[in-house]
Parts: sequence; C-alpha cells; structure tokens
Amino acid sequence: MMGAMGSFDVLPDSIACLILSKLESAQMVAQCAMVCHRWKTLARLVDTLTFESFKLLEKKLDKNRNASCLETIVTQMLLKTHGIRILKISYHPVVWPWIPNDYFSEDRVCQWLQHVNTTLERLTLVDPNRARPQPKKLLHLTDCKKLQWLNLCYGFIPVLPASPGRFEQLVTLHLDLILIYDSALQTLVELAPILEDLKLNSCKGLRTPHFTALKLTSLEFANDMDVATTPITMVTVNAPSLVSVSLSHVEELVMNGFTLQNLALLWHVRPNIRELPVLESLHISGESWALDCVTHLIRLGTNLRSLRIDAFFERKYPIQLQSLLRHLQELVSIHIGADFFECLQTAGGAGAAFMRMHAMVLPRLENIMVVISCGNNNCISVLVSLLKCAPALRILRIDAENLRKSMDNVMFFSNLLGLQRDYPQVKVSLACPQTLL
Amino acid sequence: MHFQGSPNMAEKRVKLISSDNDEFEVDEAVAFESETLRNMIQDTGTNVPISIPNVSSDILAKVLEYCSYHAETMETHDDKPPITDAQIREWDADFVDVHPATLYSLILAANYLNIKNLLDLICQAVANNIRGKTAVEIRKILHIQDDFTYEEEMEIRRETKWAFD
Repeated sequence: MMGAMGSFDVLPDSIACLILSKLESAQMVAQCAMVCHRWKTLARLVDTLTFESFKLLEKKLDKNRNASCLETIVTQMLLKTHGIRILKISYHPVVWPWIPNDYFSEDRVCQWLQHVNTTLERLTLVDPNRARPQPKKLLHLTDCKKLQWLNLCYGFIPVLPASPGRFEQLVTLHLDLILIYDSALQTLVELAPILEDLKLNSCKGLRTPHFTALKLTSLEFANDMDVATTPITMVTVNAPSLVSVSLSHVEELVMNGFTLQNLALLWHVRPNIRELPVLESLHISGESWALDCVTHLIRLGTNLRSLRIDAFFERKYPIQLQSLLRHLQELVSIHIGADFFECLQTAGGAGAAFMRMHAMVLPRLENIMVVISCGNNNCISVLVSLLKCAPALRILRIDAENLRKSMDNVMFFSNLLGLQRDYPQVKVSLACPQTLL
Repeated sequence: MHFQGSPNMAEKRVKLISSDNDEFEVDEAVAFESETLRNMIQDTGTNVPISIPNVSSDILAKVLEYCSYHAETMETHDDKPPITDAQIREWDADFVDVHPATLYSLILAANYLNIKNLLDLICQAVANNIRGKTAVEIRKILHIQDDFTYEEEMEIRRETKWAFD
C-alpha cells in the first residue's frame, strides 16, 4: 500500500526536518536539498550539521588548500541555515608535516559563530592552529548564549581577551591538544558558572593550574595523544560538588575529597587529599608510583566498592594483606596487578597466630582478579587468605600469563586445583601460557 | 486487546478508543509514556475512555506495544535481572523493522501522542534508511517526485559541487 499514507509527503515539516537533522553530515544534507523543492527548504532548517574534512575532502587532490576548501563549504552551507543547535566543524590535516597557516581564518570562524549565536547549544571545532592566539573567536563564543557543550581541538590560549562575556549555560567543556596557560584556564572556568564537566586532553602549557568551580562534578586530565609532554606540576581544585576525577600526567593533586566517588590516577600522582569518605571506586595504574601514595589512598577510602591497582612501583616492599584491606567492608571487586601482588606476596606467609589475631572478613567481596608472576608458596597463602575472608566470593580470576619459569610451578598448579576443590562455590579461572600446562 | 504490565502497577487501567472504534485497555503507567495521554488523564481521570480519532487500531496496537515495553523497563523486579540498555536497543531495532508506510503512520501517531523517545527512534530509523544515498536514490526510496527544472538542478549542482564528487 503506497497510497497517500505510504509516502514521506504525509509528514509535517517539523518532523521531516527532525529526520533530516538526524543525518548530521553536511554532505548528506546537501544531497537532500537536491531531492525536491520542499526538501531544499527543509535542508535549511536542520538543527544539526557536521562538517568532517576527511569525508568532505577525501577526493580532493589539491592538498595545499584543504582548510580553505572546507572553509568555503562551511560558509556556503552554514550561512543559509536557520536554527542550528548542534554544530561540528572538524578539519584534520592529512599531510605531515603540517602546511604552515593551513587553518581556518579567525574572521571566517567568527562569521560562522555570529550566524548561529542565538541557537547554538553544542559546538565541536577542530581547527589546527597552534600558531597564534585567536581572542576574537573566544569573544564570539561567549556571545553564543545557549551554548551548553563546547569541544575545542587545537588552539593557543595564553590569556583570555579583556572583558569577555560569560558562558552562562556552559555545562561541558572539553579541550584537546590546546596550548593554554594556567591563568587562562582559571579565567575560562570562572566564566562558566554552571560548568559540570571539564576535560583536558593532551593540552600543553599548564604548570600549576588552580581553579574554583562550584558546580563541577567531573574533572579529567587525560593524555591520549602526546605521551612526550612534560607533566603538570600541580593541580589545585576547589570544587565542592566533585564526584569523579581522572588524572594522567599530573604530578600532584590538591583537593578536598569529601564528595569524591570515583578516582582514577593513571600516572604517578602525589595526591594531597586528606579525606575520601564516600569514595566508591579507586583505579590506580601507570609507571613509577610510590607505594606509600597507593596505600595512603586505600586507607582513606573506607567506603570503596571497587579497587583496581595495576600500577608499577619505583620501590617495592612487603605489605600485609590484612592490614591493608580489612577496613574495606563495602568492597565488591578488587583487581591486584603484578607489582602490587608481589608486595603482598613477599609479606604473604603470615603465621597462623597472626591470622587469628588479625582475622579479616570482607563480607561483600564478589570478584577478585590477581596478576601473578611468581607461583611460590607465599602466592598460594595470599590466595588462601583472600578466599577465607570473602564469604560472598563468586569469581577468582588469575592471570598467570607472565609466570616466571620455575620448579615451583607444578606445585603451584596442583595447589590451585586444591583451592578449587576447597572452595567449590567460587569460579576459579586461570589464564596462562600453553607451555606451562 | 490487553497489554499486561506488572501486577503491582495494575491498580489503574485506562481505556483508549482508536479511530476505527476498537477499545484498548492498558495500565496507567503504559499510557503515561505519552505526554498527550498523561495530560488528558490528569484532566479527566481514568473513568472515561479516551478516544484517539486520528490513530487506527493496528498503529495504536503497535504504539502501545512500544509503551508497555518501555514502561516495563523502568520497573525493578526483585526476581528478574534489570533489562540492560543493549537489550532495549535490540528490542527497539526490531520494533522499527517494519514497512515504511507503517513507519510514517507510527511517526504521526508518536507525534500526536507526544512520545518523544518513540518519535526520535523512528526518525532515526528513517534517517538511517537514506544515509549514504544520492538524491536520485532518496526520491526512489521515499517515492518523492522530482519537481526541479533542469536549470534549477544544474544550479544546485554547481552551488554544492563538493557534495556530489
């Protein structure tokens, strides 16, 4: 039945426009404008447009003029629209090394922003310019009064322009690969009174940033793209609503941890936190950690539900399992990486008298994952201690992929079989190289 | 036709009448998925059957199937594990896998009944259907008449050359 009811024509403009807005890609919307007169009008009313250089310019051979090619396309199309809420303009140069000055002209970007400034809610702008600051662009951004979500990639922000407007509605700010100085970041955050989510990925130029953000719930300093950068010396945060923090390439963190529920430290960080009363999840990984820092954080996190330590330590020393974990009465899942397990293992063979005196119960513990590199008797006794203290345990996963070759290994495997016999309610799984079996 | 919700939510039932005079009875929670019905029920209560003059039985049945599934996903049961987002996505994908004519009728119904998630879901499905297609292919798929003159078409092609290479 392809009568009147079966045709797209029955849909009112508002819905037809909603459908075209879901296409996002500028190229697709341009195709739609070619369909018929009605669609030509509809295409100008879409609320979402995405310009991706790798899609739009893939067949262009003239590689020297890429940024200006995209500039022409964006200008042609964007300036005809009315009511863009979500805009993504992304230019990634394909040739390396980058051609100098191959980025959007600031005036052009300002013209785009001016055209959408009454309706824009979300903006992603990837503009590979780290050569010179573009203060006018920032001023035009503050003119977008409905802007809630902003992701800038590349750029040089040494200071903020004088007397900028405020980002009254801005909730999310993601900065990628931006050269920004401490005071500029501080001002930027202060201009956004309801900012909840701040993420800086592989940004340079920061030394000891400190800022106040009353509504901030999530803070992330990531470093996915540029591992060679010098780390940030110290981050100082005054954010009374902060729930999640994830840091990489930061040397020291100063904050009040009262509201923090999730903390992920992916590179050695010296945290300067005195209390973590509601922390639920702690994840520590990366190279060259100080063992003291890790044990300090575990002691603070009395409400931890999930603990994951796969860090590597500068200096290892023995740590008693019981004294480290016994206060974690809410713990549900624990992941113990190779280095950390080794520390527990060296301290491992506590005598029966010690075990009686320091009997530990972790009533909620359900999942254990351990990475083992040496299968000696101490290793088994640490595993036994864990099994004994966890009445609710369901899964014990043992990663022995890097088990050192040793005469003890045969014993180790038969002891593991024994553990599985003694604790039939626990699913014990073992990953190890075929040659060892 | 009856759509069962969970028994503990079943105190209040709502009667709905389609354009072809079929009667449907659902839990209030199911009807509440629709903003339009929610407002009507809050105005007039659940005693009077609500007539939905521009939605036919087969389409209304389909819409209520969507609403009762999504109302169910909001509930928590002690004995059953909660429905995961992946399961919901899979269910939704099956739901929109219907004849285009049915899709358009569903869009109109979702729009009238103001069920935002359903409207979004179907619009996304229609959009996915035309993504990657040329203007000529889109006309064919959606049965749309080309009303451009040759000159107009050339003009647009020249203006947006970048989209057609």
